[in-house]
Amino acid sequence: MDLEQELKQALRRVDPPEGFVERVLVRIENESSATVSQNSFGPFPRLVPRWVATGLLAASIGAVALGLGTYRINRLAGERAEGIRARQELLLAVRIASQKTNLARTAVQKTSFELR
Amino acid sequence: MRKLRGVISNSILAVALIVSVPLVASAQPSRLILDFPDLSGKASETVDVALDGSMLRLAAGFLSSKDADEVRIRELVRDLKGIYVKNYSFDKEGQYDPADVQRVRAQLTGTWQKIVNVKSRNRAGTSEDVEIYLQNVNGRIEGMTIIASEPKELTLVNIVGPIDLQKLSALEGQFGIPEGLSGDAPRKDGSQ
Repeated sequence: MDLEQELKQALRRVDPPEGFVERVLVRIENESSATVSQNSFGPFPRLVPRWVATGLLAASIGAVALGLGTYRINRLAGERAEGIRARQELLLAVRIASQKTNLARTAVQKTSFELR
Repeated sequence: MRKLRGVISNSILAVALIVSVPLVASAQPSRLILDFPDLSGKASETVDVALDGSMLRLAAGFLSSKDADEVRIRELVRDLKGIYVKNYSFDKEGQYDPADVQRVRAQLTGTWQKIVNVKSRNRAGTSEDVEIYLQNVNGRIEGMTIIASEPKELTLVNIVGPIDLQKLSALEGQFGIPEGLSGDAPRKDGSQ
């Protein structure tokens, strides 16, 4: 057998075995869905398992919510303390002003009484 | 006709500007400078209250709406823009310089008018001088200043905004202060 014949024999058309096409299609479909599933969460799908990423995200949201809540409570407490202090100062200021104006008024009334 | 109207309106505007500029320029500020850094060191007790408009609103918000006295105070301060009080108590007489008081008086010019100047002695024989000034702007009271000086005490009160002197005076007797504490006013009919 010469070389030409050997090549013809090697490169001859051969039909695929039965079910070959179906098996290939099934395999492609499986690999494709596995890739989508891995890529569907976060930018580092292969570094962090999905449940860890979910936990971290939930913890982060919880921490931010807790921080905001604490900040708001502190702010309200600060405003309340400032308001109570301002109220006390106002009462003190009005008391002093009232005392002094009444002192003047009393003196004026006393003088006008003595003049009668 | 349109040109004439324009000239008239321009003239009115010009007159209004000419009239208003000196008025604005001569308007005295209601808030005074009550700054005595030296006195705080000498005083045995110092009260320093500085409540601007926003702090007054905040303070008024914390006044009780059930307590009649606090309701009256809220009404009194409703339109005020500020309350500033300095009160210095001294252990000995002559601790403050009359020139300090004079610096306050020097600011009370223009629209400020002295309405009361009382020189009295209390039961203990201590002299008590009270001066009350009101700022009258176009017939409206826009501020009040009280200078109360005793040998061992100096009090300065500066109220910015429309204040009802009658209502303020009537508040004495509240907060546990006996009425007429600082003087005995013989009243013919027992009324105020």
